Amino acid sequence: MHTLKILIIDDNIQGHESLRRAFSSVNQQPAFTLVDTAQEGLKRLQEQKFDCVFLSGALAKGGSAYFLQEACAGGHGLAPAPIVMLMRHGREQAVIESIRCGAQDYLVRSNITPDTVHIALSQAMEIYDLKRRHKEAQEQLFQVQKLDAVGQLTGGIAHDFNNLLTVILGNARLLRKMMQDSDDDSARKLRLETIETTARRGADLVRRLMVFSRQQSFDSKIVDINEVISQLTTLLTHTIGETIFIKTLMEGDLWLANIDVSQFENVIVNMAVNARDAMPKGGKLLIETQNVFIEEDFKEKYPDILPGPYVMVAISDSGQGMEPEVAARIFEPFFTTKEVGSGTGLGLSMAYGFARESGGFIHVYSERGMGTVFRIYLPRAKHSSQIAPPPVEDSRGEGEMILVVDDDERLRQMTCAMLGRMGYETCAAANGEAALAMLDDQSLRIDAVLTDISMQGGMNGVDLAINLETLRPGIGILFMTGFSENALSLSGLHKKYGIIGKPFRRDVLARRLHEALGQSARAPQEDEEVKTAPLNDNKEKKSHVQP
Amino acid sequence: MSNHECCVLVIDDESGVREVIFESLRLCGYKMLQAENGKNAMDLIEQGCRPNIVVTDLIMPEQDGMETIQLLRQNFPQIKLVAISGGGRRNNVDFLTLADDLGVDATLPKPLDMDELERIVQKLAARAA
Repeated sequence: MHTLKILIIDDNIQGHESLRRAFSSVNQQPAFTLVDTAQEGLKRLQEQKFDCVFLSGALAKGGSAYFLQEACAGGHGLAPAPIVMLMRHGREQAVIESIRCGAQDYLVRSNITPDTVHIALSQAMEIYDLKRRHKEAQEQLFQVQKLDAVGQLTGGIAHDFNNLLTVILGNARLLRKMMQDSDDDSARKLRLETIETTARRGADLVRRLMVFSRQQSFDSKIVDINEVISQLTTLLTHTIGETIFIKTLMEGDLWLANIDVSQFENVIVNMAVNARDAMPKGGKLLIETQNVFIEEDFKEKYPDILPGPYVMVAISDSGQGMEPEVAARIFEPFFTTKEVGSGTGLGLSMAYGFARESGGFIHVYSERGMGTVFRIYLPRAKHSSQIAPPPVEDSRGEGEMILVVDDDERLRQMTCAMLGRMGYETCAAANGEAALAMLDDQSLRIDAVLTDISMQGGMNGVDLAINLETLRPGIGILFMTGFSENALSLSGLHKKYGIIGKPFRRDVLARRLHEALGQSARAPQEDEEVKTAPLNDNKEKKSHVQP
Repeated sequence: MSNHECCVLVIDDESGVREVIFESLRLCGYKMLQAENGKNAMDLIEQGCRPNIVVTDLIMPEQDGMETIQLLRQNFPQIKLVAISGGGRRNNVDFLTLADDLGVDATLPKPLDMDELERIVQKLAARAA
């Protein structure tokens, strides 16, 4: 249970005592901070978070009014915590005055009992919470209105632009007609053609902008997502391509999906803009598409996701990444880390809503200093015959011992279980140090290490690999990463060892492990293809996915 | 009807657009008229001008294209109508779709493909009485 943190600002020692006594009947004693001046109270309020402040209404030298004024100054009339006034008398005028100045409730000193304290405390907290939410809602409404205005502005600008382009194109055409009979005007004709092609490009850009700014209800149709992304990439290159290198890797024979195209476009543009903001000094943006088959195992980690065939769209950036506590909240409506005025905090919650409305889901993986990858899974359109789960490839393990190193316990267990089904034996460690300790024991047979690259606290996968070069030279090492393999290869990382992106394709894991174990591959051409272009592996349109 | 007999009225508040259409169609041999909004266009018609084809923008100050289209359809059903628009929506329906619902003979988005506009006008001229 949460311990209440109470700040008492009172220069009357008896006042402290009566309050503390009144709280003594409460199941869990609050943590009290006692101060006797307004200045000291303000200082404490800045330093830490309190659940409630009990403020004497009669501090020396007008301290009470000063405290209220200062505490509420930064928060548009709302102090950082609810305030209950401690009044000598319950005089109406004094009470009204203090509530006007930002307090939420009051107690009369002669009537401080467990009951009155409890009522004042819960009342103050409730009123405070309502006021805070009201204030937040107002700020959010302002942002939404601004977003709406931007949408309308885009429409207006597009309209005017189309007029300008009509004039440019029309005049160029008229000029060309006027010059048609003359032969020696080829240089001028070339100039005119340039005007026309450039204006047409402008027209194309405006058309895309208008599609994007259009507000429509959910209107789904069956589309080829590769096609939508190809179209969109042109717009993205224009809008964020100045400092960002945009690369696309599309699955060659992508399944169709049943989605609202304009919402999908909004989602991708939004994520691309977020990625650009995460890379103020420039960077790389990778957009990938892939056919994936979500297996039953996925349910263990994501119970509300139905197994089956999905079209996956991954957007990876090489930006600053997010702290886990930020990543955990990014799909909440109005959650934003951007400065006031630059973001609405709605983009990603709309993305989440879109994915759920489409019957799919969205997943984020981020690491501080490495970047972020969003994966949107959209169910394959049910236009064709029922899709059976793809046949599981024959396992290639022959009882080799694989050490799985991952700080996520559930993922570690699932990876071990998967390897077990593939015919390997497994042992596991939660971090680099624990893995090293196991590997140090030379009596333990370990044939290969499958390790996450970045792990919370202590040694990461790369350091583990460096240590292994002296400890167990020649041991097979395969890195796993939550990032896209392609995103990592873009940044030129880890050329020395094999690497596999989570979620795994079971067949790819089998191959990579096979390579790591130093055995000759059974089908070298196929392996080569996977290494160079894993997403264009048309021979395997269905892939198994493990989180 | 031959081009020389056919009269085309262009209505657009953007003078550059109006002139480009005017000049392009004039070079094709049509008799041309122009107005900068629906109200001026109706004034011309009241004064006795009888265009066979009207090419009109949809969003304009003073009487907009929609109103003009409705008036012309009611009072001069023989006039062929072409709606042009740089985009915009009312109640989430595209303006050109709305114009289509009002019974225009053709619609064309801006930026205008002048070759296409000439083809459309040519076809309508052939059908004009």
